[in-house]
Amino acid sequence: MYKLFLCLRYLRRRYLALVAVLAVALCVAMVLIVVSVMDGFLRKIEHAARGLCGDIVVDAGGISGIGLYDEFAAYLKDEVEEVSATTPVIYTVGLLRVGNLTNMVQVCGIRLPERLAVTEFERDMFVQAGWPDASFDPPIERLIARTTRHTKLIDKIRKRESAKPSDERDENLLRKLAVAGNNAVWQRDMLVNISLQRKKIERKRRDLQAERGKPAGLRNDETIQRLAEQIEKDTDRLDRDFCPPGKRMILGLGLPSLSFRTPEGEAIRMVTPGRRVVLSLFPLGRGMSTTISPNTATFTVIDDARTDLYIIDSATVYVPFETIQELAYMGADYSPDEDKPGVIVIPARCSQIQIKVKAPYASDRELIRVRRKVNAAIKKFTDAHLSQAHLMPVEARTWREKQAKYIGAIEKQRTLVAIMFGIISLVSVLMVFAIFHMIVTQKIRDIGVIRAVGGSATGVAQIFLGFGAATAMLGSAIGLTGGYFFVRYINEIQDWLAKWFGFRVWERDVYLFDKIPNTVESLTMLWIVCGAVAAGLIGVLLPAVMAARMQPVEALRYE
Amino acid sequence: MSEPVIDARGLHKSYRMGRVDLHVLRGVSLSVGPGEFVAVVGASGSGKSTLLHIIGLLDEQDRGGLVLNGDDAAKLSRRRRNRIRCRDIGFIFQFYHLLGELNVLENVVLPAKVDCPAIGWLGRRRRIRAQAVELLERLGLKDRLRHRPKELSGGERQRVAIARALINSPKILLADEPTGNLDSKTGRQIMELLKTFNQAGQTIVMVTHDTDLAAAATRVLHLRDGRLK
Ligand SMILES: Nc1ncnc2c1ncn2[C@@H]1O[C@H](COP(=O)(O)OP(=O)(O)OP(=O)(O)O)[C@@H](O)[C@H]1O
Ligand SMILES: [Mg+2]
Repeated sequence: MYKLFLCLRYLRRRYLALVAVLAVALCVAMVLIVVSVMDGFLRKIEHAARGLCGDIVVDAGGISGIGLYDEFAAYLKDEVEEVSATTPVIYTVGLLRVGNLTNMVQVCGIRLPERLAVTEFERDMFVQAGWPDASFDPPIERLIARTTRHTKLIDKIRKRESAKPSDERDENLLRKLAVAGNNAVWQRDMLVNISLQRKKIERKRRDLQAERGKPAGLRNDETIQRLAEQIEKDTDRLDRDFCPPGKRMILGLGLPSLSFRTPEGEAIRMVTPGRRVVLSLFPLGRGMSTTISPNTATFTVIDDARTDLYIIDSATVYVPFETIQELAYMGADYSPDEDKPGVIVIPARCSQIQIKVKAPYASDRELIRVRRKVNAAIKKFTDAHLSQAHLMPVEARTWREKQAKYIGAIEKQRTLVAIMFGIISLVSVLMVFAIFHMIVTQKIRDIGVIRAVGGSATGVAQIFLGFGAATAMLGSAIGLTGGYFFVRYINEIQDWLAKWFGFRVWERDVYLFDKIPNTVESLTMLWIVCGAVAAGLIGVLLPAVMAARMQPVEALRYE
Repeated sequence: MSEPVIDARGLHKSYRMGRVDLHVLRGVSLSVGPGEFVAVVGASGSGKSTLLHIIGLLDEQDRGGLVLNGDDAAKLSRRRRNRIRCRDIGFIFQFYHLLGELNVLENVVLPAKVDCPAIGWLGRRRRIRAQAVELLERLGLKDRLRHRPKELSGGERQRVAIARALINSPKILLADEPTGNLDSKTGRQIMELLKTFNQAGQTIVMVTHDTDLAAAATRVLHLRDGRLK
């Protein structure tokens, strides 16, 4: 009875309890924020690293690339049951011209939607966001609808920005918004026009069909002739205005000057679907030639994609695999011998095969096991195609192994971050411990008094244990709530700071990602609270037990 | 003569100060019967507090026997020692030792609370509070019940401490220089109070360095060179 009573009294002594609660709250919040942000950062990097290449990557052994990739993929699926999907990829470098703007870009040749089964990476798209069957040929109506939505967004932002008082208004931003708005409207109208033309051609096709279907006597060969010519001409013109599916492009959202971000964080496109761009690249696929002249082709932009990894988004365009294979001279070479038409001398090649493993085998340990099996399959496959051994892949690597080589610095960062976690957590635990220890140490004379009036040693320990537990829990609750909301709204807080004090902690190009990670894991929270409460309890218990075990008179004399 | 409430035989106590042993008590024997008011007089540092602490089970002697109400202190379990401290002994300290977090009434009631299991408390609460209020009234603290110790004068604090020592109606009241920190007038008042409690049958052992104060007692002993004379 007296234990509970005294415990409550100590809690009601505001100053004492407040110090304890505040100490715990601050420590809990601090650790939660640091751990969540850092952890989120690492998670994002890992997710990105994995997203870039799938679970397991097979790289080309030589400069000429990997041949027989489709055969190999089929073989692999038979041979290694853990493999759920594969896709070939070509990487090359090119120059992208949009209007009179030229960007150096990484050209990524992919097969859609096949690639989506391997990586979820480019699913944050403008038009086809979240489509499981995203392709280079989405319905034109969707492009129109999406572009219209974008024009509306731009209108809204323009209204919002112009409504600001003149000293806050960013004229430069308004100008850029105006250009983006005009571009989008113009592009949308083009798309509408193309859609109409398509319908016209469609109608003519039906007419032609109908005419052809008429019995011989009624059929007008002249009409058929005329319609066929018209269809061909119209299609030609249409293909010039809107390239056929092979010549479509998905832009990375972040290419310099093709999009920008408002201070509120909205992504505004200067280039929207329907825009025609020119891509030039050096065909590196054929090792023999000594002089290389660039290959150039016109593409129609049909979408843009974002990986969240700034270095990728600011420098990558995605084009159909087979098209880039052709442009980079990585297609099949046929025999020049006229006696053997259609005989392939050099097969078509890719630069990389990306492999997705079935969900149960996605852990690091399992992946290494699967990777061994893939390597064994590579060896067997190479043995079976010895004549083309130079075009065979050399070895498979898990995404982590590949990352270790290419983004090794991040691994180092990871260790650094782990050490920082450790130090911060340790300091927090020590702080909570020290403060609680101090509080009880101040109360040792009280302990002597309680003992003198007959309180037992365990009773005294329980009083302070109760005090410690209550304040530690209250502090944890406050700290968790505070920390949680801080992390949750960390980007807004940073925007706010940037607005009022003009400094940004998180620069997009420095930290790879354009947003600070803002997720809080419940397991992290649990651990932190456990740590804080344990530190508080030990801090309380140590001096309390010490004091309780003294002769009461010693506790009374304690200074 | 009835059985003594305190029977100490040859108590020894020494403190280790670095390499030298400070032999404070060198065979103190003391027997106090029920209803006695014994004053122990001695110079500062002669070991008066030490003796009182041992008798009050707040400390342990190195050698010698102590029997309280017929129980050999050496044979008591820790639980029993706690219980005796709570029920049978009331202690008044030179420096009051009130709990700053509690108000006057709560400080006084505390030993009764310690003595009582949680469920029993609800039943007894009223009676004990009434008892505490009555005690405080007798000590002239009627309108200080809700005050905090730090809001009281030294004399008032000591009176609160007396009330606390008496709340469980202990068989023995031990007072360690109860007036040591008070001016002579308040000191005399406190002595008067102790005297009235003694006249009502309360056994008291008081230590002091002031022979004048000791005059209030029924028996005066002198502590010198670690022995009682
Ligand atoms: N815990 C301790 N450690 C070391 N020495 C101690 C301890 N407690 C008491 N002493 C010493 O024992 C001697 C007796 O102390 P005690 O407090 O009993 O004296 P006292 O007679 O009560 O003095 P006063 O009248 O000043 O209160 C003193 O010299 C003191 O220094
Ligand atoms: Mg003393």
